[in-house]
Amino acid sequence: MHDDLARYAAADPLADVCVIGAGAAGLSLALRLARRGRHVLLCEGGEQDFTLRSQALYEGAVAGDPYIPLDAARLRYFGGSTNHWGGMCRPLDAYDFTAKPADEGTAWPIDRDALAPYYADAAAILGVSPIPPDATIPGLALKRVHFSIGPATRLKETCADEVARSPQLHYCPNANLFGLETRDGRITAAVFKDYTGGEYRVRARQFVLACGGIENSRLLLWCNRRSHGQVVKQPATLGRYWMDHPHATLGRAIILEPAALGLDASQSVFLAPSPAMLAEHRILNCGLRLHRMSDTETGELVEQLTLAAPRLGEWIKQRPLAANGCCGVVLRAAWEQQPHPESRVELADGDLDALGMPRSRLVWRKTALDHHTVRDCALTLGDYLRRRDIGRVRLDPWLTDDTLQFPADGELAGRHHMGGTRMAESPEHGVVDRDCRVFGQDNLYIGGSSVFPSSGHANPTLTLVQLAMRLADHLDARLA
Amino acid sequence: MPGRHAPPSLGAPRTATTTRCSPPTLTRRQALGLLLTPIAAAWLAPLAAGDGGVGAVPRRDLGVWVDGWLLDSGDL
Ligand SMILES: Cc1cc2nc3c(=O)[nH]c(=O)nc-3n(C[C@H](O)[C@H](O)[C@H](O)COP(=O)(O)OP(=O)(O)OC[C@H]3O[C@@H](n4cnc5c(N)ncnc54)[C@H](O)[C@@H]3O)c2cc1C
Repeated sequence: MHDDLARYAAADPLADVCVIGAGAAGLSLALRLARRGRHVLLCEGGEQDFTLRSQALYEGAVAGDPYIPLDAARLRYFGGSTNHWGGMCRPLDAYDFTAKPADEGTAWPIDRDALAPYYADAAAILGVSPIPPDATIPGLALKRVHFSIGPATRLKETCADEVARSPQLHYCPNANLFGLETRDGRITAAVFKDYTGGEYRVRARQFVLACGGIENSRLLLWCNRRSHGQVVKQPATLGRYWMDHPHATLGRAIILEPAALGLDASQSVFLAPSPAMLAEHRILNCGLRLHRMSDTETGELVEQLTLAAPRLGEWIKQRPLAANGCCGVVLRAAWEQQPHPESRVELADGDLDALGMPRSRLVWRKTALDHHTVRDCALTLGDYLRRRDIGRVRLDPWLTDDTLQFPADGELAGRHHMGGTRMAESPEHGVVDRDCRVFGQDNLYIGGSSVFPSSGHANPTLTLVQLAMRLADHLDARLA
Repeated sequence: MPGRHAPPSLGAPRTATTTRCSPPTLTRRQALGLLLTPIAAAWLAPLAAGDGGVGAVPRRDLGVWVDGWLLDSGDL
């Protein structure tokens, strides 16, 4: 049911669970617990629709590698960033949870089997369609992989009715988390501000912070400062190991035999390294994307190829494009970023938002391994195409120049905000344990991809909703 | 290729990325008879292991870089 925070706080009930943030993670978790009969308080900082006063709280500074402005990389109202997400989904690979030979810091404390029981429910809430199994391609170390590709489910629309009808769920908009009060390793109250100067305290047995992959770090950093370090008692990794999936155009390719890659049947084909390739080439995971060009663009690319390779170019031109099926593709990639402590979210001291909280400062840092990963995958594909005479690639200068560089403009990243409150076996290495519980707090949990210790190459929302549902079951069991 | 990676603090990969692309030999450049751009010159190299020059490498194993294109010597 819709509620009002001032009214709710005045009555001072003890909720079973206070969920903070009504995005993909918060909504999936809150609804699952409410269906089990738990008294859930769902506090959302934004309103039912986009408002400038809420969105402005997402403004922040970007340092380090170029990144999308922080208020353009997410949305701050009911449904969160699923109001503009693309709906592309794929589970992480089983080996994404392991220590990869290129960097053992990719290991999760849990394996994929721990999330498997939640796949069907997560797929249902996100509208994920069946995803065909990966397929090997003879002679190529990269395999063909698939995604569920939209249409993007808008949780604002699909969850609205149940949120309004559920008697167990108290949904309060305009409730901006501003502080957490803690005593003896327990959160005793959460403090919220509205937009008119009101400040409210609410009590709950359990608290879940689910405000997105940048805000979870910012809010914990701020709450920790306000509590003089009592919320996250060992904050060495708080805000750190922040990741996105770097996105870039790698070049173009002429594909002489589209069927060999499955391009005859679809406009786009996705490839990713096999586990053996990850180990042998010492790379991280990477999704290569081949997007078919129009015939006109293909013709232009053939002209460029002819300048570099007259014999091959002339041979292609003698054959009518439509008849032989030859096509040009744009080669793009979205890949796994190396988890690195210097890539981080910080508080931008001296720059307060309208509620008086320091804004976020994102210091995004990619590494040489990130460059190596994407370049190696592009070279592996190019070498395969040439050896088998299936095609030829032309890589962009940032991959062929003899310097470590990434494109400074274009898409840059997937807006997949991961890390910052990473899951680990111990508080020296992370912020939450394998149950997503903040180390040193008995009743504070984190929902969302900020707990990812590493990212694989797949879009994160399916996995973070699986984690949120697993967390709901964990909380339900604790409350029993 | 030394110098291609960021400082070690940023986590340089343990295996260099370019071991397959040794600097071009004069013989190979001459043999291919190409007028090479600086990029192509830096990247002109067989991709196969055990490279012993154009004559010693099976034709299909010889990859060459020209203006960003990864080509087969027979394409030229
Ligand atoms: C343009 C775009 C395209 C994307 N495409 C894809 C895709 O194709 N596939 C995919 O898997 N992922 C995609 N994503 C990422 C996806 O949107 C996120 O992974 C997902 O929304 C994260 O869910 P979340 O619940 O953790 O955070 P969010 O959905 O961001 O929800 C966080 C909620 O917390 C609220 N909140 C924030 N601060 C406070 C506060 N102080 N107090 C109370 N509430 C607060 C916000 O208003 C919001 O409702 C895309 C993202 C963008 C921006």
